[in-house]
Parts: sequence; C-alpha cells; structure tokens
Amino acid sequence: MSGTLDAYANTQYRPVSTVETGEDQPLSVRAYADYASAINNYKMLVGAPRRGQICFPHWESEDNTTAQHVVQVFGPLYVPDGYSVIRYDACTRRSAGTADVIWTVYASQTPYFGNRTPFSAATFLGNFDTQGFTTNNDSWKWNDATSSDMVIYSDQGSQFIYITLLATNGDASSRSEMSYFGFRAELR
Amino acid sequence: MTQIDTGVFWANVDVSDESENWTVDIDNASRRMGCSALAPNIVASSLNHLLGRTGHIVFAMATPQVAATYLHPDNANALNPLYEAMIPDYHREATNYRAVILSFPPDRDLNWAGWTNTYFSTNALGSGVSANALYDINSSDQNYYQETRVDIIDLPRGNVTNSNQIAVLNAYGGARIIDVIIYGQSADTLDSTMDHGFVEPAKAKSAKPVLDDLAEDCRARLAEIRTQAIPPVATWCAQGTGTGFSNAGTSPGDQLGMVVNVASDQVNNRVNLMDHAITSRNSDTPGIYVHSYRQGIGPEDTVNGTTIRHAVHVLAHVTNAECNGKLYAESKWSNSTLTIDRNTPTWVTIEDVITNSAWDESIYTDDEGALRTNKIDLYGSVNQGALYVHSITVARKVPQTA
Repeated sequence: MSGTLDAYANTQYRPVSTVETGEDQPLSVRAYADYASAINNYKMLVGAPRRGQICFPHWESEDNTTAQHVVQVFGPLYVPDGYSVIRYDACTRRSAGTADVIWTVYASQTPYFGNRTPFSAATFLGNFDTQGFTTNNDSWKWNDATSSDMVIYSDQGSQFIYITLLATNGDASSRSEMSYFGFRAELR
Repeated sequence: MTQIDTGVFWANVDVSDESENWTVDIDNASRRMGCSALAPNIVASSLNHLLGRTGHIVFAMATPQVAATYLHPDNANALNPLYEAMIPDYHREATNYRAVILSFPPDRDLNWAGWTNTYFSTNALGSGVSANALYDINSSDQNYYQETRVDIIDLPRGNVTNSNQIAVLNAYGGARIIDVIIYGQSADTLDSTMDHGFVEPAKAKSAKPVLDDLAEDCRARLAEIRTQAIPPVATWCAQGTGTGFSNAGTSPGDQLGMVVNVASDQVNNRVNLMDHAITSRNSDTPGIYVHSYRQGIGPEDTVNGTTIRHAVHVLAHVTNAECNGKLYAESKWSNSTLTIDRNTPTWVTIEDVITNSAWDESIYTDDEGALRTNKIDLYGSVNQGALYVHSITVARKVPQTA
C-alpha cells in the first residue's frame, strides 16, 4: 500500500474516452492502466469514507469541571479495506476563562458505552487509537490536520470504526466551544 | 442467477507491468508484449469491489449531551418531522441503505423504570420503522452512556432517482437521539440479474486478445461512480421544520433553527451563520471544511481541472417576502448569493460553490493561512424581519464534471 497513485499518469481523474473500435475488437491493454489509475483516485480520494457536521448550537465543554468528559459518541463509519488513517477536522475557540481546553478524539473498534464523566478508555472492547488538539485562543481556529492521524482498528466483521469526542478544561472556569466537526479516512 | 464476488481487499490497483505495449528485455531489445488478460481482469474485479462496497454515509446528525449547555429538549418526540434533510440519490451502489440511531431516555436526570412505545421512523432512501421498544433502565446523571440504545432500520432501496431526495426522521414515545447515520450497506456479492452496476471479469479470457466490450463496460461503470457516487461533505438539521418554532426571531437561533434578525444583526449586514460577530471570511472563520485534494476531474494544472463544484442545499424561510433575505456561500474561489423570499420553509440550492483540488491541507504544518483553504462559509442577511435556516446539506454537484 502506498500514498501515491501508481500505474500511469492522471493522479487526478480524467474521463476515459468511450471505446469505439467496433464490437468485440482487439484492444490495447494500455487502456486498462488508465482505468486502474482512475480507480485508485476514486477510492483513495473522492469516495473515501467521511462524515462532517455543523455544530449548532455550538458544542461546548462542560461547565465547572476539569475531569475528562465525553462530549459526543458517534455511530459507525464504514471503512473498507485500503485506508491507513482516520483524520478529523474541527473548528473551536475558547468561550470562557483563560486556561487551555484539550479536545481528544478516539477511533475505536466498538462504540463507547462507559461513563460520561470521568471518561475511561478501559470501556472500549478491542483496539483503539487517539489524538487530540488544544484550544488556546479566544478566536476561532481550526485544528492542524497534519497531527490528527489515528490508526484504523475497524471491527473485523463489519469494518466499522467508532469515533468518540472528549474535552478536558484546563481549569474549572475555562470552556471551549466547537462549530464544526468531521472525520474521514485517508490513505497516507 | 449469477453472483459476482466484489472482493473485500483493495490497495493501489497497479497494472503497469501487465499493460505495457512494449518493453525492453534483458538484451536491451524492444519487444512487443502480448495482450495479457490479467490487466482487464484486475481492473474489472476492482471496479466490482467499488460498486459493491461504497458504503457512504449520506446523512449524519449528532447532538451532544454535555451538562449546562444545549441538550435535546423533552419535546423532541412531539416534533414531526424531527429532522428533515436533503440526500443526494444519484447512484444505486448495489446496496440497500441502513439507518443507525443512538439514543437515550428523554430526561437523563430521572430514573426510568420503564418507558414504552419508543421507536423511530424514516423515509430516507426507502422507508422503515424501528422495532417498538422499551427502555427499562436505571439511568443516572453521570453514567448514561452505559444506557445507550442502538436502533437499526433497514431501508429497502428502490430504483435510483438521479435527484436529491428530501428525507425525514421521527422519534416517538420517548427518546433523546444523540446520533443518526444513514449509510449504504456494503454487498459481498453483486447479483448480476439485478439492476445495479457491475462488470464481468470473465470477459477477460486467458490467452485471448483483450476485447473492447469489457473496456467499455469498465469505462461506463467507472465514469458513473466517479461522477455520481460521492459522499456528502456535511449535513446539519434543526429540530422540526419551522412548525412550533419557539424562539422565532431570536438571533442567532437555537436547536430549532438558525436566525438572522435585523434587530440584532443590523440592516443588510452579512453575518456568519455560526458566529454573527464575523462578517468576512478568512481561513480561520467557522465554516464547512471540504477535503478536496486531487478530487477534481481533468488535468491537474488547469483551472477547469482543479475546480470542484458543490451545491449547498438549505431549508429556509423569511418573515415575509419584503425581508430581502440573502444566503451566501463563500469559499476562497467563489461567493454565491441566493435570495430567500418564501415565508414558509422551502428547500433552495446555492449552486457552484467552488473548492480547489490543488490544495492539500493535510500536509501544511507551518502556514496557518493555508490550513483551511478549502472551506465554505455560510452567511445571511435581511433588511427587515428575520431569516430562518432549518437544514443544510453540502454535497458535490452531480454529475461532477470538469
């Protein structure tokens, strides 16, 4: 598996022209290299599993606590074989206080069925991976997508992965709110 | 009835070794290669894999349950519909659809000994109703994710409509929905007597010339899926569709809808729907991120090749036709405007919102201005009264062309 699109040129899809050499006539196999490249482009990029959502009213970390707590448990995302990482995209700002607020994202084989607070990763059955980012600005900022890679531990039977979103306030008077959250599979 | 295995594995289809017309052999002589049937066989099998296993999420809507902020209101069960969404329906994908609903009892602070007659229904790409169920739990304030109920509704799929479909979801009895997903189920095999796309790998016969009818099958199926089977970028729904709008006129709105109000937001002042203090777009402002890298059609080094067009479907209305209600969808490369003049919720579409496939935000680490180049911001304005937004779907314009 590689992060580049092999076969021939057209790392971006180009419509393959209609084949008009007559019915059932011999054809150069070269045409199939273009198809292979286009298939790679579709699966790796255009058709990659994803979901995204506007968070309105804004999703916010919980008041008056510094415990790590669950903000959202998401349902399944079907990720068939062929992708290497899950990445997330989020837009947040600090909505109260002056301390940093840490957002944490889990990608797991099973949904989260544990306590809302405090969060416990021990509740996950099977494997999981996690990444996070920090809200430290009163203005809206997007997370750095380069550091959001999570290993895909999908359920082997159904090829689902489950995302869980957590928040941890730096002190009891600080909070962060979120205006967009999405996640997607990538081949890197 | 025959069935064709779609194959579960895919990693970089590479037929370069099998598809060179000429090669240089060990004696440095150019030698014509035979017409190997292996290349079309690989391509055909990979295409079947894609046709059967593109289980896209076509609708998703999550609602957080953090204390002291917004929670699902108790009256969610009384809203009909609870959610209304626009779902692109341009490809059959060889599958049925399935709705997965995660929910809680309606009030997390109470212990529900039993809450009966709880179910969901939807008409999204097929119609279905969940099993009538009973909550019999002992939900406590802090630990209620232990009580999450998962409902699954299979949605038998009819013929593809090649259009955008309005879908609704209702909740009955007593439930707080925390997440809804509607996705295409993957198929292990493609049933060749059914009306869904497949190619026949057996046409690539070993030791026979490669014929063009299989090539044409591959071209047609690939072009179809590449231009029409594209998962939506983002979806969002308010609860209800304007009926029973409890906080009508209050900017910026609440879970029942987004509101741009002339009294709060000034006359004809263009405000970001996510934060009314923001009136112009930059790479940091709230919006909808669209990962676009190499997702255009055509040459990568031309404007046409890098242009990706999106449609923003919005369920909206204004207080009256004289409000001069405007919706704006702005990216770095386009700024589209649509006038809203209906006083009842109506689906409208902002066409041709453009992102650029040359940008890969996933590789930038040091240039904050380039971090979120492919982002669509949504704005609204009125010169009197108010503009209300109840549902938003951002999706590729299909069929996608250069």
